[in-house]
Parts: sequence; structure tokens; C-alpha cells
Amino acid sequence: MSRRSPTWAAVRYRGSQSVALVLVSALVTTCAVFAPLFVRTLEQGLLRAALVERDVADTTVVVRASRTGTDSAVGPADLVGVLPAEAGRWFGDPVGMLTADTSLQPQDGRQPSPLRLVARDAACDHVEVTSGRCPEEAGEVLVSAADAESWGWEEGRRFAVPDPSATAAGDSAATPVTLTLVGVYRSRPDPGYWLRTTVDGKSGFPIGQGDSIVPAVDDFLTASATFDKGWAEAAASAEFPLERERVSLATLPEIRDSLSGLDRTREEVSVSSPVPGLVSAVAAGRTIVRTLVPLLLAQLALLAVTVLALVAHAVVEQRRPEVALARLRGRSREAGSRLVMAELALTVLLGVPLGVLIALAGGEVLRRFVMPRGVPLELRWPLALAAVVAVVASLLAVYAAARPVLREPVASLLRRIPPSVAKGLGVVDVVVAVVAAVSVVGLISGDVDGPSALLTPVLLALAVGLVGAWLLRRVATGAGRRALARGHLATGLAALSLARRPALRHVLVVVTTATALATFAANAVVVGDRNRAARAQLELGAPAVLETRATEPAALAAAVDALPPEQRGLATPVVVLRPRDPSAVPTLLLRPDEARGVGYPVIPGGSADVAALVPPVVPSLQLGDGVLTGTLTWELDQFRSGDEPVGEAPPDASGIPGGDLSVAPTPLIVGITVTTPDGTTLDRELAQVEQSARGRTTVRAPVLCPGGCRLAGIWLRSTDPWLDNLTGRLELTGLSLDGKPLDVGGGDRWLPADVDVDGGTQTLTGSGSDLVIDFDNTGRRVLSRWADVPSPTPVMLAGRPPADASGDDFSLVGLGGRPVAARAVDHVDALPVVGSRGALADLDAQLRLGGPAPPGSSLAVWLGSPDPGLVADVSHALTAQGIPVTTATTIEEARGRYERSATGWGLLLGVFTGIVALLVSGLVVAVVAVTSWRGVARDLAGLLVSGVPRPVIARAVRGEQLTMALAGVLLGTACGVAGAVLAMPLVPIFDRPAVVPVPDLAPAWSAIGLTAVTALLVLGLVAVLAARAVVSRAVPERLRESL
Amino acid sequence: MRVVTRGLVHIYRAEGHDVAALSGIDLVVAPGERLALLGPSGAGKSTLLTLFGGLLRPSAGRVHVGEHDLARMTEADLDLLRGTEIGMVLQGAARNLLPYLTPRENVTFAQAAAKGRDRELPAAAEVLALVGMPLESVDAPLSRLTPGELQLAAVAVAVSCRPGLLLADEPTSQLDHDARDVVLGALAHVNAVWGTTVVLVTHDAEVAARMPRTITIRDGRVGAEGRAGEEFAVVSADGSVPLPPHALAALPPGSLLRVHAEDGRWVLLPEEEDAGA
Repeated sequence: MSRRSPTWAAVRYRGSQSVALVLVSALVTTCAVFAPLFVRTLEQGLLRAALVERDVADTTVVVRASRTGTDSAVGPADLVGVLPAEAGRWFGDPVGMLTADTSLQPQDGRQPSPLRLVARDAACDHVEVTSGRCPEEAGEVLVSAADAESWGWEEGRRFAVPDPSATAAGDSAATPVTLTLVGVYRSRPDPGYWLRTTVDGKSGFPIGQGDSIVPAVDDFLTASATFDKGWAEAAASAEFPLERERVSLATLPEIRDSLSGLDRTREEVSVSSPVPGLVSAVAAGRTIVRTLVPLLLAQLALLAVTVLALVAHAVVEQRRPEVALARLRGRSREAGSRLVMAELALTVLLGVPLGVLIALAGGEVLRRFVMPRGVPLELRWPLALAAVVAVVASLLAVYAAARPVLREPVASLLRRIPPSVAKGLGVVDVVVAVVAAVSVVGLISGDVDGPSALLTPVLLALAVGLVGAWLLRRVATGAGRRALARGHLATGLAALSLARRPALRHVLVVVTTATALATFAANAVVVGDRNRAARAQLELGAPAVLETRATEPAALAAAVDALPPEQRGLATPVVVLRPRDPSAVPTLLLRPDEARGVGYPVIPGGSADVAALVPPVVPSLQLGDGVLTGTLTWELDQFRSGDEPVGEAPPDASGIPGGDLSVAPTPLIVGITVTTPDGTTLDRELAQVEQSARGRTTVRAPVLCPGGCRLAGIWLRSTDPWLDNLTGRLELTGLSLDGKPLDVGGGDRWLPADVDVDGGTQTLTGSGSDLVIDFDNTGRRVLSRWADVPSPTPVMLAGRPPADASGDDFSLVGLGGRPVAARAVDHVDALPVVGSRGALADLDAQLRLGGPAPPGSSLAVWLGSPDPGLVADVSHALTAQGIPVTTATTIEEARGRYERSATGWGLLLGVFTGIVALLVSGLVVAVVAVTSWRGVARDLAGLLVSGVPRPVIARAVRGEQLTMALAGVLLGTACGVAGAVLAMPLVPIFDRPAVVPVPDLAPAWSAIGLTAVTALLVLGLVAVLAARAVVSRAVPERLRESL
Repeated sequence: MRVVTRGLVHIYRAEGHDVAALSGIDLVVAPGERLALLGPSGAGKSTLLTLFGGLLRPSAGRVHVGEHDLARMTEADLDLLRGTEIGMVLQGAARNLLPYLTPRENVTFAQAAAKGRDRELPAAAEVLALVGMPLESVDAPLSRLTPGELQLAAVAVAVSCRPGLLLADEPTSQLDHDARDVVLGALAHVNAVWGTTVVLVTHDAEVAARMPRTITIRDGRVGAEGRAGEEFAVVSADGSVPLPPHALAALPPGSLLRVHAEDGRWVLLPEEEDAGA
């Protein structure tokens, strides 16, 4: 006969109980092991998102020096020592580079284009030399294939380019430097080498050179010897790319520390090192992860351990007779305890490897489907420690649950019905309730904050569950008696069973807590997702954004307007002007009507009436390169005849030549202002008005706009220093351009005039090509603007206006960098792209004024759909029109940047928490049914024998189970909502908090409702199945002693 | 093993009320004797058996099992006593057995405490054979055993450490006649082979009739004692004599009696009869 282990036999005998206990133990272990695994995986993900997956250039230390400083011959080799020796092992070999800016006439007769000479270490190894050879001697250059083709450059061609440093030194006779073309290159994409340097790709694009627009020329690659002589304004740099494969979480602090020794003492040297900032970002993310994850999992672990204790208690209750037998057969109290504890410990230990496996599987799922590529699944010592902690905690929970039973005297253990528990709230119940109450009050009053406050929802749920269980007992007792008195047998039996069985009330506590945790977690996940989406939408502006290399907003707008109809309806041009002055307000120019249809409605605050940004205007009046003709008559109320006595000089008479105050009267000048397509403002004189009471003259004025221009305004100006006030009338009749009448009459076509003095007025009337101008006390100059552009420009303002604003009026940076008078017609919290500070204005109005985008601007096209096909089609169409698209960003990518963060990934844990919490509660319902079915079935058999019909019994059992599940879910949902309201402000949603958009922490009712329904369905199903199983075992034979 | 009680009292305390289960039991059970405790439900016979097993402490009085004064023993000593000298069969066979073990394993399990104290014990199979357990059932799962076999297993477990005293609470309840006889035979066999004192509690008069001596407990006192089928009233230490039920019906509580010695007999004369005479 083989000897069996009694412990193992006991485990096998109670198979379903053991399985349940194993599962709960596995859950505890999973929570414990998953926490460090999740934390580590997230940290690795953060490392990759922040460092490893970034462009090499983003993690490169760049040391720059200009020869204009103290060292006029500094070269890359002189900069290598700036990087501390201890940092050398983290960074690759430096790439040295010398550059100098000059200019070049690409072809004879053309204006010079800017040119950059580049001598980069081993450049020829990273370009394709399509013809010729690599430069070796001073003055030898490689030109780009695009330039060679565009300008017809061939090998051997010589370029004479100025050395700006020689010119700046005052050497006007400096001989231009001769460069010899020895080959043609085409750059090969190699981000690890080129980093942020691009040497070609701009050939032919129009760029500003002084007042002119000229075609761009790609960089010339040359040998470093070219810079040996002259080029005193050249810039030297040494770039140290980070060696990615050496970066790990462990080495991060060392890398950061090694860079603290950067030599910043040399004045001419500047160091740009994003690495410490990135390392700090990773460190900050790790801090968030290490706070957020354990807290979420701690709640779950607390719930799991509580469940384990409850289950263990229920299981130990089942073992009472066995403990009694052990004592009866002479075993000591300790030996009897060991008998049960051995069985429970074995069961708990069986759950440990399962829990570890589940945790590892979860980690693998996380690694494969959520984290960036390359994140390893690290089996480190904290996992083993966590498993040990889980084992110890589980055993302690089991022991704590078993101890009261095991310490009972034998006679008590032998009783068929255990001694009744206290009917009131126990000490633990009261302590939990008090702690929860203190936490809630602390949260409301603000005395409790920080991560520990996140435990409040679970504490609150525990307290509510305990009190609810206590109330349930009282309510159920009364309700049961009343129901029985009224003959409602099923209801009465269900209620009395709820009142009588402590296990059911324990289930209520667990279900309440689990549902609260699941609700809180689900809400946190959805609220976090919602806020990340809102911020991504605000940041991006539209479902997809194509950044372009365009510099001419008008060209961009024209390209968009020329898109095929199916693309045009989903695209709109957007220009963002970012002044260099940090105190100035960035300008967001778009077409409000189109943007409303294409972009996201993410403008929070304010009345957000975009119609106010586009007031009614008249069509622009385009003037070609013709001659304006017409007749001008005038009547002046104030003028100078020249006979005036010599008197005091007018205040501004200092400019009069020779200080002669008796100069002859000079005429007034009538003219127009026009703007060219590039935004240049030009004045054109129409006629001179002699100072007399009245007069008449013929207008004949060339417009001089070869590229066309737009009528911007009409003005009258005094050139007489003695005449500082204009009052009278002008009549401009028959105004024509090249004989074609110009429709300028009518006051509604002109904006109110700008006058120099307060109280002055100018009104314009007339019709057709006749214009009557009445002016009164206007000062020395009066201007009326053509009403195709509102002035001041109405804007929607986010953030504070500039310091020099007058109320809502302030000056804005417009196209061409010109100041534009603006008036805030609406104040909002934030604007797309520019965020919490910026002004939104109508793009078309500014396009009428013309002008290129100033440096630092971005010109983009918003798309109303992130469909890759649309993105590709529009990109191609724009490129075909000469608008190269540099980057395409979809809303998913923008959201992804936030989701690939410590908070994004950390909150994802809420999904795991919610699922596990619901599983735990379902498991508890099942476990209680499993551990108590024998006794319950015996009770039910008694009812059967007493004549209670089986359907009534079935209804009663279902009723008690469902009532408990429903009560738990309702209480838990309420606690989850309360927890969400109280604790969500403490949950970090973003790694880096921002002013806008203000986090919307309103409960996500859909998620809460879905969680409640899911919990109800899961628990209801388990409860019904458990009820059915118990009822099916309720047969009269149960009343006999059975095994 | 001798069992002696003197003025044994046991009071249950429940929800603020004291209930005297035993009110001064004086009893001597001789070593190797077989004794049945009879009496109606609630009379206190199971309480008396529990006190014999040291599972309860007497509220007053003394219980001696062998040389041991149970009231003075520690919990650990009582555990040891139960593991070596006292075997108990609880009411309901299944309550005596670990359901996941076979009869042999149950016996082995029950012997573990005694073996740990270097006690010479019979093999489990020997014990099972002693009580008459069929060989094919020795290693069978309990779920396959008949009720009678289950009860035999329970008896075997109780005597597994070859105790001097065997206490059995309703060992034949829920058994058919054949099984009952087998179990009673087993008890008698254990008594005969090992000289084990057997005290059992029963409601069944037929079972009692199979025992050489019976004690009837009424209202927590020894109401009568039967020997060889004849029932006797027992004079207690304080001189009181509980009347048998049929006498009590004629002489209700409060009746005045004269006690006379007549012709070597003791006669109880009610006051009226006495007056009439």
C-alpha cells in the first residue's frame, strides 16, 4: 500500500475549493509580481521613447565655436576636449564640421544667392559622388546634383565668392575666394552621421536675400583646408552622438553625471546638450511610474489579500471538524493548526507559480502590444522578491484568518453550528470606517493629498461595504420576517438567508470594493484618455497636419485652393507666426470657416464666435502695371498763401532747411498706398494740390506694379511745415486704370480714416469712379484704407495681451514680419497649435496684405481626416505645386506621444486593475458558493422535506445571490464615483502638466456605467450559476450524515 | 481504566442564562466494565460523556479517569490523554473520520500523536481487524463504505491508540439492526481483547439491554442504574433517591413520605396512606 500525504489528499478532496484558493493566491502573486515587472517595463519604454527611439540628433551633444571670438583659427579638433573624458564612453566619435556663409551668383546676371560652404569630417563617405571626385585641396568643392543640373555647372567651373570676414574687416578690395568644382554629390540619408545637418534639398527654392527673393543654392562640400586661410567668420562644431546601445536605465545617471563636467569656460564655445534634459525627463517619468503603478496595484493587492483572508476564513470554517478530530486524537493545538495550515499553505503555494506566470504573460502582452519595440522582459531580482512578499503576505493573511478558529477549544470546534459572530460592527470594521472617513474629509478639505490619497476610493469602499453588510443584516432580517408573514416565501427565505449567513455579507464587502476599484480605474483610464486626446487635438489642430517647407503663405493658400475637389474640401492652409520676441503674441492665421469644418472644435472658453474674425469686406482692388488717370478738384478751407507774416515757428519746423521760416508754401500731396504680393507697401503719388481755396488738376500716375498690386488706401499729406491742419474737400472723378474706370466710389468701401489728431474726420462718398473726400481738422496726414482688410484686425486672443496693449487693442506680428493693428474680439483659454498664448486671425485678410512668413514661422495644411490615402494624395499634390511637405502628423501620432508616457502607460494599468477586480469579485462569489454548498444544500434539503417547492427554493437562492451582487455593485459604483470625484485631481494625467487645456476631470459616465453593467453581468452570471449548483445538490439525502 | 465522578456539576452559560446540565453526579465505572448511559434528550448524558473525555471542564465536582483528575489537567495534558488513554466516538460516523482518507489512513492519522510519544501501538490493519472491518474496505474510499462499515471505521479510529477508556456517543444511531449488532459486537470485542472500559450513550433500549450495566440520567442526575436487566434506584451521596418514572407519577413532587423499615425492607409511605392507616 502506498502512503498518501494527508495534506495532499485533503487538497485533492476539496478540488474546487482548492482551485479557488489557488486562483486567489495566484491573483495576489500576480499583483505583487506584476507591479515591479510593469514598472520596469514602463521604465524601459520611457527610456526608448525618450532616448533610444529619438533621432540621433536629438541625443547628440553639439559643441560650437565661432571664429569671430577670441580664437580666429578654431577648428573642430579644438572642441573635442570640451566633452569630459568620462563622457567619452557614452558618446561616439565626434563629427567635426566647419561652415561659412557667403553668397554666389549661380549664373551671370542673376542676383547672388546665399551659399554655405561645408567641410564635414568624412563627408564623401556619406554622399554619393555622382561625378568627379571628392575635394582634397583648399578651394575644391562638391556641388549638389540638383544645382549642377539647374545651373548647368560642370567640373572645372570656378566660382568667385566673397569671404564675408574680409569684407567685414573693411578690406573693400579683398579678392574673392575662388572655388573649383571637382565633383557632384547627392547626399545619402544617414541620420547617424548627418544629424541635423542638411546640405542639399533646397536648390531652387525661393528664399529672401535682403530685399530680394532669390533661388536657394545647396551647400558646397569642401575640404577643411579651404578654411585654413581666411574665413574668419567660419563656425566650427563637433557633434558627439550618444551611443544608444550603451544606454540603459542603470547607466542613465552616469551619463547625466558625466556631462556635468562639460567645459563651459571658453567664451567662444557654446554647448548644446539635450541629453541631460532627456535623462531628467526619463527620471521624472520613472518617478511617476513608481508612484502611480504601485498605488494602483496596491489597491488591487489590498483587495486580493482581503479576499484571500475571507476565502481562507471560509475554508477554515469548513475544516473545523477536522481540527477537532486532530485534537480529539491527541494532537496539540499547534499540531492541529499545522494540519490545516499545511493544507492551506500548500494550496497558496500552488498558486504562486501560476500567479508568476500570469504576471509574466501580462508583461509579455504589455511588451509586445503596448510598449515601443525593443523593450525587454526583464526577469530581475525584484520579481523574485515580490513573489516572496506575495507568499508571505498570503500566508499571513491565511494564518490571520485561520487563527481564531484554530484557537477555539475542542468542544467549540466539535459543534455542528459554529458560535455566532457578533451582530454589530467589529473593531476592524470601525477602524476601517474611521480611516475612510478621515481620508474623505481630508481630501475635501485639502489636508490629504499626494499619492497616498489614491487609496481613498478603496478605503471608502471597504468602509461602505462593511457598513452596508451590517445594514443588510438588519434590513434583511426585518424584510424576511415581513415577507414570510405576507406569504412571500421565496423573498422571505432569501432575505433571512442574507441576514443569517456571514459569508454572503463578506461577499458584499468584496463586491463593493472590487466594483469601486474597477469603476475608479475605468474612469481614470477614460478621463486620462479624454484629456490626452483633447491636448493632442489642441496641439495639432486637425486630424492630420502637413508641415511644409513653403515660405510664401500666398503660395501655400493657392496650392491648397488648387487641390482636386475631393481633397480641397478636407484641407485648409494654416500659418503660424512665432515672433522671436518671447513677449510678443504668436499669430495663428487660418480660414475660420474652413478650419471649423476641417479642424477640431477645441477652442475652450470664450464665446468662440469665429464669424467675428471675418467681418464683411469689399473685394480687393487689384492694380496692374498701368497708369492711373482722372481729374482732381479741391477746395481747401485752410491753406497758406505765402503772405503770412514771419512768426513763431511751428513746433516741428526744425526740419526746414536753413531754419528759414518764411519758405514758400508747398503743395499738399494726394496719393494711394498699394501692397505688392510679397507684402511690400508702396506709396504712389496721384497729384499735387496747390495751397489755394480751390483748384483743379489732372491725375496721371503710373502704378509701377509689374507683378500687380493691391489698392490699400488713399491719403492726403501736407508737405508744408507751416500747415499742420488739413480741412477741405477733394473730388476725384473719372479715376481709371489705363482708361478702365476704377470702382472706388462709396463710403462703405473705405474704412474710417486714420487721422493724426483727435477729433479730426475724413469722410469718403461718391460712386463709381468718382470719389469725394471731405476732411476736417485731420492734422498733417490723413489715410483712408480700402475696406478689403479689416483694421484693426479682429482676433481671438488666448492668454494675456502684450504689455503695450491698450485694452483689447494691441499690435500683432503679421506676414512679412510687419506689425498689424489687432483688436481682441474674443478671449479664449487656448488656441490650436499656439496653446495658451496666441492670437487667431483670418488668413485671407492677411494674405491680402501680402508678405512672406517671417523666420520661425510654420506653414502647414490641415486635413479633416487622418486617412493615409488622403495624407499621401494631398502631400503629392502640394509637392507637385512646389510646396514640399516635410512632415505629416496624424492625430493618432500626436495622441501616441502622450500615450507613450509614464502617465499614459501608468493609467493603462487601470484596465488591468478593473478586469482583475471584477474577476476577484466573481471568484469570491464562486468560492463562497463552493465552500458553503454542503451546509446550504443541507438547509435547502430541510426546506424541501418541509414541503417548500423546489422552484420557490431556487428563486430564494437566486434572489439572495442576486440581491447581494446588485447591492454590492450599486454601493461599489457609488464609491467609485465618489472616489473619482475626490481623488481624480490627484491622479497625474500628464508627465508634464500644462496650463491648457485645463484637465477635464468630470466623471466619465459612459465608462462608469459600462463598468457597473459589466460587473452586474459578471457577478450576476456567477451568482445564478452558483445558486443553480447549490439548489441542484439540495436533495433529501443531504439530511443524513454524509461525507 | 477506572472512571470516578464525585459531585459532578456542569453548567452551560448561554446568552445570559445558566443551564445546569449535570447536577451532582456520583458514579464509578470499574476498569474493563461496559456501561451504557441512558436517558431522554437533554438529560445530560452526552455532557457527562464529554466530561469523561476532558472536552469540557466540570463546573464543580471531580472527574477521575484512571489516576488523572481531569479538572486539574492542562489543555496539553488532556490532549495527550486523549491521544493515549481515551478514545472517543462522536455521534455520526462521518464526524470521526477525515473524509479524504481511507479507513487505514484514518487509523494511521489517529495514531500519529501517540506514536510521537513512543507508544507501542498496533498496526492500523490490526486495529481494523479487531473491530471487524472487512478486509476489502480497509483501503477503500470512505464514500464506498456502508453506514455500518463507516461506524466500524469510527470505532477503529477511536481505539487506534489502544485506549484504556472508550467513549462512544450514540454509536448505533442511524444503523439497521444488523449493522447495529456488528458495531456492538466490535465494542464488546475491543472490551474483551484489550480490557478497554467502554462507556456509550444511547437512546436505544435494545442497545442498553446488550450492555452489562446501564446508568439512566434524568435532569442531570443519576436516575437509575440497571444491572443484568434489572433497574435500581441509586442512593446518592446526599441520601436522596430518585424515584423511577412510574413511582413519580404516583408520588408527585412535594409528596410527603414516611420511610419505614419493615421485615428487612425499606417502605415509603405517603402521608395520607399513613394517616388513614
